[in-house]
Amino acid sequence: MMGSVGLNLRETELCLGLTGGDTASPVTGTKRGFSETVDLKLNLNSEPESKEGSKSHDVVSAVFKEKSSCPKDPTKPLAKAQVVGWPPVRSYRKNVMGSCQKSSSSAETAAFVKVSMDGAPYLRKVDLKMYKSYDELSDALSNMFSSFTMGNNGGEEGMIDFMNERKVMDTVSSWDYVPSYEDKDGDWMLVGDVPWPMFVDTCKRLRLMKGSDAIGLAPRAMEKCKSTSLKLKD
Amino acid sequence: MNRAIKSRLSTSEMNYFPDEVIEHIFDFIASHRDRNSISLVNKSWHKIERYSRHQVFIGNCYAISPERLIRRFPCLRSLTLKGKPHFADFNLVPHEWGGFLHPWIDALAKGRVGLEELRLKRMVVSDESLELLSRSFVSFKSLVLVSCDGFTTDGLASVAANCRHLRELDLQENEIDDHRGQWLNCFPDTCTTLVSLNFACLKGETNLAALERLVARSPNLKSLKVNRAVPLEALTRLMSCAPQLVDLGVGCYENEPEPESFAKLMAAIKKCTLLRSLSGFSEVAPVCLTAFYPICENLTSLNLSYAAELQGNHLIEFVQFCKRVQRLWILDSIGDKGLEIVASSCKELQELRVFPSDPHDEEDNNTAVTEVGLVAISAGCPKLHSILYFCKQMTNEALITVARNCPNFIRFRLCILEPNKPDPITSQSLDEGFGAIVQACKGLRRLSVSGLLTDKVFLYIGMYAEQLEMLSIAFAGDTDKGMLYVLNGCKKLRKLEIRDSPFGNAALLADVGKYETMRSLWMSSCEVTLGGCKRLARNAPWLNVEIINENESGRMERNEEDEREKVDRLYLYRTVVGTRRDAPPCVTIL
Repeated sequence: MMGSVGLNLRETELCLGLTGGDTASPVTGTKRGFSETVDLKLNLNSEPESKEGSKSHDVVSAVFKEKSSCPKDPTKPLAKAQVVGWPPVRSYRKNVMGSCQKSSSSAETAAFVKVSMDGAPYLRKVDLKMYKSYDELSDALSNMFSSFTMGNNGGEEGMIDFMNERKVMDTVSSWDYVPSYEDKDGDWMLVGDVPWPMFVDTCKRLRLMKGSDAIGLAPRAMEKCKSTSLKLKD
Repeated sequence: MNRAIKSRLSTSEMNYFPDEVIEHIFDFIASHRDRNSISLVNKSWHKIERYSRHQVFIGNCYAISPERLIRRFPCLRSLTLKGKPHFADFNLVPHEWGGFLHPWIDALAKGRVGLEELRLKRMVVSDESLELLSRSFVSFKSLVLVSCDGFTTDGLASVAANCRHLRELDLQENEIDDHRGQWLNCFPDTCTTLVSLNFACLKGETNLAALERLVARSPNLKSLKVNRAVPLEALTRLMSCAPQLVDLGVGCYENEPEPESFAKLMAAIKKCTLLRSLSGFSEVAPVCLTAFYPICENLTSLNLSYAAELQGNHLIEFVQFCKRVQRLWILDSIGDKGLEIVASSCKELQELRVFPSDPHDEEDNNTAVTEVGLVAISAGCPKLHSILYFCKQMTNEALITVARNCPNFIRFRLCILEPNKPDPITSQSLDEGFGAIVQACKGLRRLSVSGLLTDKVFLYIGMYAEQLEMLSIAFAGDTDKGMLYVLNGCKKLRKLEIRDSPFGNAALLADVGKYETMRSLWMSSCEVTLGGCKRLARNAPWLNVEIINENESGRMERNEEDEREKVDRLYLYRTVVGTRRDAPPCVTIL
C-alpha cells in the first residue's frame, strides 16, 4: 500500500550518520530549528500538488520515530518528545496526567533504580517493586553495602539502619550515610518523607550520601535532628 | 464606561461638584483601564481617584515597585500580581528567575495597607511571606494563588490559623510541598466565614475529619475543591453537609464503589440542586461519573480534563447531558465524533478547551481530534467565543469555515501538536486559514498560531487583528518581515511571545518605541543576537532587557561575549523602576 504512494522509500531508510546539508529545502527555507531537523529528505512541504500528502504523513511519523537516533543537528534532537516546552501544556498538568498514566501500568513493569554509595567503587541496582516498605528497602541496602561500611567503623554497628532517620542524623557530622534519592523533577530529596508507593513512583535513583555532604539536602530537617541529637548526648 | 456617566464627565461641569460626589461617581467605574484614564484628566481627579482606588491590577510585578504602588494608592484593598512570563508554564524560564512575593508583603505590611484580597499568578511565594501576610492584615479575606510555587502546607497553616475573616483560599495548579501536616486543623473553631476553599493541587493526604468539621461549620461555603486524597465516602459526607455548594471539585475515584457507597453518593448529589460547576476527577471510574447524572443538566461549567484514563465513550455519554454547559474543559479522547455530539447537545457553549491526553504521541493515539471536531463545534455552538484546541492536524478549509461560523471569537488558541505541520490535504501552509480567522473575528483579543506558517500569516494578523492584545508564535515565519508586520499593525498589542522562529535584530530594533505600549516581549530560540539586545537596551532605558542564558549556573563571561552570539532567551518589559536587583546569575539585565 505504501509503495503505491510514489515516495522514494529508499529515502526513508534508517540512516546512521548525519544527513548533511543536502536536504531539499522546504517552502520556508530559512527557518531554523525544528523544521530543519524534521524535514530530512522527505520533501513533503515542497510538493503541494501531491494528493498523497496525507498518506505520506503517516510514513513520516513512522519514520520520524525511527530516525530519532540520527538527528541532523545533534543539539536539537528529532524525537517529538524532546522539544523543550512543547506542546505548550502546563507542567502541572503534565505531571498530574503523567502520574495517572504511570499508576495504571505500574503493576506490570519493574522499577529498577541505580544505587550509589559515596566512596564505594561501583553502583548497584535494585527493583523498588520488590519491597513493600522503607524498612524492607533499608534491610536490602544494608546487606548490599555492608562490606563497605564494615571497614569504616570496625564492624561495631554491623548493618546500619539507613531508614531510621533519627539514628542516622545523630551522627550526621561523622562518616555515616544519609539516604537520598532523585525524583522525577530532578531534585535530590531525603528518603522517607513521602508514602512508600509515592516514593516508588517518583524515585529515579538512590544515593547514599556521606553525612557531611548531606548538610545542604534538607537543612531544616538537619537542624532539627542536630539539635535533638545534641540533646540526646547530654 | 456607561454612557450616562460619560456624559456627566465633562470637566467644566464636574469642577463644581464636591469631591465626595465625584468620588461617588468614580465608584461606578470599575475597569482598571477606565480608572487609569480618569486619573489622567486633571490633578484633582488624579487625587480623588488615587484615594478611592481599592483594586489594583499589576500585570508585571517588575514594572513598578511596591513602595511606589502604596504611595499612590494608600487605600488599596485588593491587589493582583503576575510574576513570571507566560512561557514559564512550559519550563522555558529557570526556576529561580524571579517573581518573589516577599518584598510586596513586606512593603504592604510596613505601609499599613488594609489589604483584603491578594491574587497571584506565577509568583514565588514562601512560607515566610504567607506567615507575614496572615499576621499583617486583620481584614484579610481572600487569597488566590495560580501557578505559584515555593511554599508548603506550613504556609497554608499560618493563613488558616491567623486570618480570622478568611473567605477564600483558592489554590490553582500550584507546586506546593505537602508536609502532610495538619493545616486544615489550623482553622480555628471560630472560623465560619469560608465561602471558597480549593486545595485540589495538594498532593498529600488530607485530614478528612478536620475537613468535614470545617465544611460543617461553614454555612456560606459555595465552592469546595478537594484533592486526590479525599475518597468517595468522605466526599459523600462533605456533600451531605454542604448541599448549598455551587462549585465542586472532586478527588480521584479509579475504583468502582460498593453499591451502598454509590447509592449514598447519588443521594447526596441529588440534594445539591445549586451545583453549577464540576471539576477535579483526576481519575474517575465511569460508574462514578454516572452518579452525577441527576445534576448534570444544571451544570454551566465542567472540567474533566485531568481524567486521563476515562475513555471517550464514557466522556461523551456524560457530556451530552450537560445541555446548559457554558465552559467545558476536556481531553482529546473525546474525539471528533464526541465533539460532534457536544456540538449538537451543548448549545450554550461559550468556552471550550480540548487538551492532549497524550502530548508526546507516545502511544500513537488515533483518537486525538482533528479539524473535523473544530468545524462541528463552530457550526453547532453559536455562543462560542473562546477556544483552546490541541489537535493532530488542521486544514485551511476548516479554519475558513470556522471563521465564517464563529465571527465572535475573543480568544482563539490553536495548537497543532506537531510543529510546522502543513495542511494535510493541500500540503500548504496555514496562512490562509488563520488569515480568515483574524479577518472575520473583529473582536479577537488573544491568538495562538501553530502549524506551517510563513510571513504571510503575520501580514494578515497585522492587517486585520485590530483588537489583538496577546499573540503567541511558535516555529513560524520566514524573515524579520513577519515580526514587523505584527509590531507595526497590531496597535493594541500588549504581550508578544515568540519561540523558535527566524526573527532577528532588524525586527527587534525597528521600532523601539513600540515596546513602551506593550507589557512585554518574549523571544526564545530566535535569531536575535547579543549585540542587537545591547543596542536595544541602550536606546530604551525605560525597558528592562533580560537575557536568560542556556547555561543556568553561570553568568555570561564578560570577556567571552561575542556580539554576534545568538541569544537563547530574551525577555523585555517596560518598567518605571529600572533594573531589578533580585535576578539570579543565569539572568543578565542589559
